[in-house]
Amino acid sequence: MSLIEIKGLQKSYKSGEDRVLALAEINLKIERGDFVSVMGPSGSGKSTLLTILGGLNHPTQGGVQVDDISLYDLSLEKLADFRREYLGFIFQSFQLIPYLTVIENVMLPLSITGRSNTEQGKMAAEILEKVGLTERRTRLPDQLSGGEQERVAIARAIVNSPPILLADEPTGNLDSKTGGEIMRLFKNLNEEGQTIIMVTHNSENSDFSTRTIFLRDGRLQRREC
Amino acid sequence: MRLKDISINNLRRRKGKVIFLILGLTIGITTVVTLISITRIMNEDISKKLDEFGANILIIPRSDDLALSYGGISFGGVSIDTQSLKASDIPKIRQIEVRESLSTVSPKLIGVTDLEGKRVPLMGVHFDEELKLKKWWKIHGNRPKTREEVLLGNEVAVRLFKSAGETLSINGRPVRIAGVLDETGSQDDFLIFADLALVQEVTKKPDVLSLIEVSALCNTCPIEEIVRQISKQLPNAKVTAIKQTLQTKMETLDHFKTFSLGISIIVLLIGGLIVFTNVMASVNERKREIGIFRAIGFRKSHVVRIIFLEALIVGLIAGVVGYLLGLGISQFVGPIMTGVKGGKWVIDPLLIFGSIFLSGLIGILSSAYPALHASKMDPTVALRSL
Repeated sequence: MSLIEIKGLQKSYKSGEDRVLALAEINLKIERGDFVSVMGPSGSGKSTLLTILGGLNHPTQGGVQVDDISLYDLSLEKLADFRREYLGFIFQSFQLIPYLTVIENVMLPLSITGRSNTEQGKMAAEILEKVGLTERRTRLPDQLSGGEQERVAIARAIVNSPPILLADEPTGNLDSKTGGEIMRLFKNLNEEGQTIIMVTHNSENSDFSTRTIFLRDGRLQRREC
Repeated sequence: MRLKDISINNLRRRKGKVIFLILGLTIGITTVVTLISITRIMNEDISKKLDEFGANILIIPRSDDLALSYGGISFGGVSIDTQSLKASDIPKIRQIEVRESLSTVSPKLIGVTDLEGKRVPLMGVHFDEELKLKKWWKIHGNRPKTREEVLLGNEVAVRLFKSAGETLSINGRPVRIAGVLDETGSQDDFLIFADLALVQEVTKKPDVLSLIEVSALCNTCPIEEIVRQISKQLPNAKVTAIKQTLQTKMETLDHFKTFSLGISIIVLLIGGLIVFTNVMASVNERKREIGIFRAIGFRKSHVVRIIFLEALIVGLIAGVVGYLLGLGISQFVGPIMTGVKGGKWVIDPLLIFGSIFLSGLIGILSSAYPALHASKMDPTVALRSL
């Protein structure tokens, strides 16, 4: 059984009197351990697909199944629980909480899991070591470089060991050298078994993935393995 | 890390806004504490004056004989034995249900004695109770310590050419003048005050009382209720509450209390409004942050708790600061406003906890809508980057 199964997915938005089709008839299966790049021009529906996969955006039609959970049959609160257990988000512009230190940002998803402070601290420290930020643990986000902030965002996304990692333009705000380092980090995570779905404009980034899908005008163009 | 750490860190980051928020609420709490404290100072002052003024309640025998009067109020003639008050009536007064409100119970017997050819009114009292009742008395000499010592009213002393330390003979009983009262401008100037038992003995009226003065603790005194209960205990006595000019002061105080309540409600509403607008603005500023929380799995209730916790912390700080400021202002500004001396600093635990609780409650209530609004935010709208 696939980890993620998307069936007949459709999403349209109301714009004035008209309805704009953002996604149409998407059918897709993503297996455990896949590293999927989602590419396409602006407005092709990449981000909409990612938010629907992330349980943040109800589709107009069709559904998303993760394991045996039908995402959009869940209540909003259960959907929040699902995100906490299953997903790690990496946002385009890092989206760190500015008044929390590096380690506190990483501990953020753990703060609502009932784990003790000691356990949270231990888990966060391990992940920070993995992304090479142990020395920066007590810094605030604005005291870090772009690459370091991105690594904090990755650490926050994986600290809970979620089965799925969703990344939106993870290198969009980074120079090519730092971007390359981040992509290698993604690759390492994937090699350790992490399922990753990444929206990107950059074809170099898609080279790191195991599979690339293209979207145009909300429709799936072709698949590459 | 816990949700409270998120709240505390956010408050620490937004120091300027938080201080403004605390100030807004503090003004409200300060006003309430100041007004309550000033009302209390005024209340205590009136109670003190009522106590100084003397008895609040006068108990006299029920009689048609209006031959004698005391304190501007007529009382029964001592000759009517059937309706006289007795010493045994004192414990009955002490047994009424609202006895905690009773301060002093001072029995008296009035008689007349011949001194050097002059008829002088004599009043038998329990000096301990009487001196407690008449705090304004100034004695030249000493307080009577034994049964054979008396106090002379100022006018009596002048007429008899007597002063403290000299002796007198009351109906053949030699007594020593312990002290002479300063002029009081009342009937006390014309009386000789002697021990009650002595007067009962020399007038041959053992156990008999002419009247009983009762002083109630007027902070809390349900005066009408005390009168009713004493009347029930002493059916043969006429029990009268003395309503003097201080009644007007009590009414003024009641008006001030109503005014204070009105002002407090308005200021607290303004404080609440300041919290509401600030928290609402803060929630809108933090849309992105709330979106992140929701995206990584925070439930609506988690978001509400973060905002409520922030409001509660602000409320509690404002409660403490407001209480301290209010206490300070009431001590320094209160006397100027009321003309009553501030007196000692009163730390009232109920007022401390009341102010902190009220402040916290206003914080929470004013943040309820913004918190709900935040929890309902669509994470995708909040996270525009997605």
